[in-house]
Amino acid sequence: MADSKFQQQNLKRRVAVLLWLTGFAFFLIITRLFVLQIVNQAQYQEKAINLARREIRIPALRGDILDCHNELLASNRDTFSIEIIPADVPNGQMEDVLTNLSYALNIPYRTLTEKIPQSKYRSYSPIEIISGIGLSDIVVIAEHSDLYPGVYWHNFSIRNYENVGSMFHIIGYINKISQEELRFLYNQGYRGYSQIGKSGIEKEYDTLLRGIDGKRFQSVDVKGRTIAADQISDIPPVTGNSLVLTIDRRIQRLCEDALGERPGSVIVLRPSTGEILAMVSYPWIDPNIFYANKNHQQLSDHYNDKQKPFFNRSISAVYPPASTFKAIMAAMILEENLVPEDYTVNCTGRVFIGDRYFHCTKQHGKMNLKSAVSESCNIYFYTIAHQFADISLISEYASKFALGEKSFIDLPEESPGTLPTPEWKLKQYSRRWVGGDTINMSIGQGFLAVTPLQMANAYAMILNNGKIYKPHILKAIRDPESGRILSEVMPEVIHSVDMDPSTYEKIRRALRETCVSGTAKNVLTTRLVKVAGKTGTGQTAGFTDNYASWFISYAPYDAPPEEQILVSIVIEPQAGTEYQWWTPFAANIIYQGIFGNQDFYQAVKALHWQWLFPDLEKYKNE
Amino acid sequence: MNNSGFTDQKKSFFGFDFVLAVMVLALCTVGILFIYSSGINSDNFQTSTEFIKQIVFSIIGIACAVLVLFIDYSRFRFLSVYLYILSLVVLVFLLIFSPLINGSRSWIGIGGFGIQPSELVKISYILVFARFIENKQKEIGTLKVFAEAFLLMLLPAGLVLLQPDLGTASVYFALFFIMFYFGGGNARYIVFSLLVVIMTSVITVLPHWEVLIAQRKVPLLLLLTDPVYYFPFLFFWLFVFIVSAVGFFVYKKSFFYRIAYVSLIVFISLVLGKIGSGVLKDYQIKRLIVFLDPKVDPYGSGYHILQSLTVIGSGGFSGKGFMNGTLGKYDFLPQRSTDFIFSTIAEEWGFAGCFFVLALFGAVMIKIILAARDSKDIFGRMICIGVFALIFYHMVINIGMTVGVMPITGIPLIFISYGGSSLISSLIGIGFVLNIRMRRFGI
Repeated sequence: MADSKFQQQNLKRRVAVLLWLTGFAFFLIITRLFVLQIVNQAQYQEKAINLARREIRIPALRGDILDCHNELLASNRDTFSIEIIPADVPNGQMEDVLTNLSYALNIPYRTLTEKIPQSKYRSYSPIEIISGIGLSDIVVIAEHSDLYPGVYWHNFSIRNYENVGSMFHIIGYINKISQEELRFLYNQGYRGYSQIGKSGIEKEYDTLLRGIDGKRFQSVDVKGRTIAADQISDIPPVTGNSLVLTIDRRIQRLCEDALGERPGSVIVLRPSTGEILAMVSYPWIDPNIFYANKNHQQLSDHYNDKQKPFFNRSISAVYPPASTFKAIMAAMILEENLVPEDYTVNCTGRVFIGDRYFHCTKQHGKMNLKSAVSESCNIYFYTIAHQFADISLISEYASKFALGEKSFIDLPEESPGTLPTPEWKLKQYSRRWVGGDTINMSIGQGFLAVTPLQMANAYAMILNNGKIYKPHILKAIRDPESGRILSEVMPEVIHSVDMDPSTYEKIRRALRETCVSGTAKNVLTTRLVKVAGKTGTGQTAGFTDNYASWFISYAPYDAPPEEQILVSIVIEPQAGTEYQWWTPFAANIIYQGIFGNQDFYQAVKALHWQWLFPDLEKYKNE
Repeated sequence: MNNSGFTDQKKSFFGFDFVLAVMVLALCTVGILFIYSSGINSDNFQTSTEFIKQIVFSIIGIACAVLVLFIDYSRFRFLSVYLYILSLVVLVFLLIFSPLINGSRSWIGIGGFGIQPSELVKISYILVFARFIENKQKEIGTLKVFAEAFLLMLLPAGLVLLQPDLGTASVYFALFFIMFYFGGGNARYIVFSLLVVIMTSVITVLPHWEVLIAQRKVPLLLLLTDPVYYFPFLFFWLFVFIVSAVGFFVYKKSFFYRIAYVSLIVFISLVLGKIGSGVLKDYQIKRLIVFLDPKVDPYGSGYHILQSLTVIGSGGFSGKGFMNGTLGKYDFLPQRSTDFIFSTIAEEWGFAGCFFVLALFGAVMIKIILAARDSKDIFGRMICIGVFALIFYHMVINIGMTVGVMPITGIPLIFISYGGSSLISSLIGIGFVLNIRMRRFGI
């Protein structure tokens, strides 16, 4: 078996090659280790510390929202989310785990497999299975945790709105911040994970409500489990402020029921301070559908609804003020002394001005200013406008009553409406202003468009002898812990006009006459207060078959402004339906309820109006 | 031939390589220590019984090695063929009956324990190939013998590949190349097949490399990915091969030979690479190449490498101390008792500890090469080289993987990683080396 000399040499050479190969491999490995462990040691050690010491955000609780009697409207509720870290599920058990989850949570198995495809089985990034579920579902899983390896759950709080009903438009809702919002708000401390108010008070006062997130520095393992409990330098979160609103839940509910399922708006305003006591816009939605057990079908139905439930009609919708504008016309006539108070115009049902006839609702006969307002005679105002005034004067008075400008109420997306001028028409329609436009505007039709809130403010000005207080929803800011009031919103005059006080007094008398002998007689049957107001029915610009039916009123008529309450109602009825005359009826119920301290059911009973509501029993509260 | 049985035994006893045995046991001990350490959780509780099992496996392995030691290895000349055939049968059996565990069919359950036969098959392959080389010594340089040797390897390797277990299959290739080279194989064929293997691997992963690592369009790769370019490119090389082969047979110029040699390599690699791209799943290829830039998928396939690098790098020169590794303990390092045990060692013992472990490996390998050199016959020599190749390849690939310069193939660190089949079979391999060294003086 002895090798030949040649073979011996050959052997030596091969041994040498293997030794060199081995030596080379060792050289490479040791060099690499040297680079990792000696040269870059510091870098990796820092990385290792960062890996194990994680900064954990402690989310701040969002502030509560309360009504004016400190009843809770919005608060936070604990809920849970479930997630899977696929790599933590033992090999080959994923199917079992998903089957068990599907059974326990009542989710289709297919949904789960779509969320966790085979390609992610080795992934260490958690995948959320479901969120917004209650404790009971978690208990099922926690009690059988052996069936759910790799399944984890987190507790977090979501927004909860307590029976807010029609307050959706006031309170709004919160949701995950969008990329767009983040770009603008990053510098204000918002991050990709932030929740942000999307509408209403939640949006307007987001910075007050959101609080400040806390931080916890802790050693964690790869699953985020806390290892070291040394909370050396926790920064506790700061709960957001509690906001007290001017809204009175009781009045809100009353208005909601009085408006019923009629698209439109009700605003209840305290004219002497600008406080909004109630603000209903129908249709509305339940904000809770954004959180607990998100119902996507329902959400998309709402988004696609032609009646636009997300739209706050009280401040964002514009309507022609129609006959309610006559109060402003009256102020112009009186203040400018265009005609004496007792100057009469004979209403024959129609009048020929320029090249066409303009019509009235009926033949009123001889009309003076007071009766023209209370009977809502168009011919009177056509004639005066045509003979004694022009568009610039009418526009001037409209703007004296703050039409065409925002009230800067503390809600987002307020519309300024439209106060038309000849220049505006030329720009918008490339057409000249004609006499007919002036005539139309004199009865609040045509191009003039106002929000329900603007009109409420204009009437508040009549009550306040020329002052409009900034309408507001926020009443006070409270400390979330102690409940101490941090700041209170004071009445603020945003609009002030110097006119003869007697002018306002005369208009107020005419408005009272409307409810006594005019267009709203026999409707305001409440015996608790004397109501004064003005009706109006007009075509909505752009929608030829849509009408806006108005009733703006206040009560008590004979009390000082501090005790008065102003109710502005608009309904968008289809022409010819029963809704058209509903506004004063709704107002009557609202006054009965507010001044009699009754809810809707009691108010209707007290008015003996059961015949109007065949299904009244369902409103009964007991 | 005049030695009595007694003196033979005595001589053999004194020929026993204590140093090698002690060093191997030292490596096993390091393994057990760090399996123990990686089972400790942050509250200093031992959460795993792996270290006890590993002790049991070591004892079984040592017993097997001792058993091997007392049988003259010459007897395995005869046995090796049957062991090889048995191995193939077992591998086929596995493919049909074994359950899918960790995505491959490589386990046989016996009672509560499972074994991975492909680990033991490695030893039987070393034995049969050693015998093959010895038998074919006279014509070892011919193409025929090369082809037979290649087929002998391809049978078990192919069956393992079907499990599918790419990492273990690659071990057979490594064994084949190193043993065949040392056995006197023709460098021409070895280089040829080595180049085909390497080029095939590269061509297989290149399209994925473009998407995952380069993340830009590499126009040259259209030659591989777009059929419009691929087939003309392929046939170009076939054409070059045929022309130069004809040229060689006509003119007998080595110039033509070289061109034919290269063009055939490219042609075969193009075909096999295309097949490889089709057969391997996306995520498998992703795992293979992600080490080139693990940051492209930090929470998926690149996760292990990034964590491992951090763990190793944070160890520094002297380490954080035995059982004081923070990252390993806190679960940041996956598979820290098996594939990534070297990272745990690097974290807790630092560069110095790694150097110590590597030195042990180096010494063991040198000892084995010396045993090969001094072997009295070719069979023994080739067994030693096989065991050397086994250790060399496992060590380089595994440590290379943990330090981020080799693909993730799931190859354990021999002697150290937790795992019974691997430990027992490598100890049996060491048993053969000791056996051969003990009987090196001939009878």
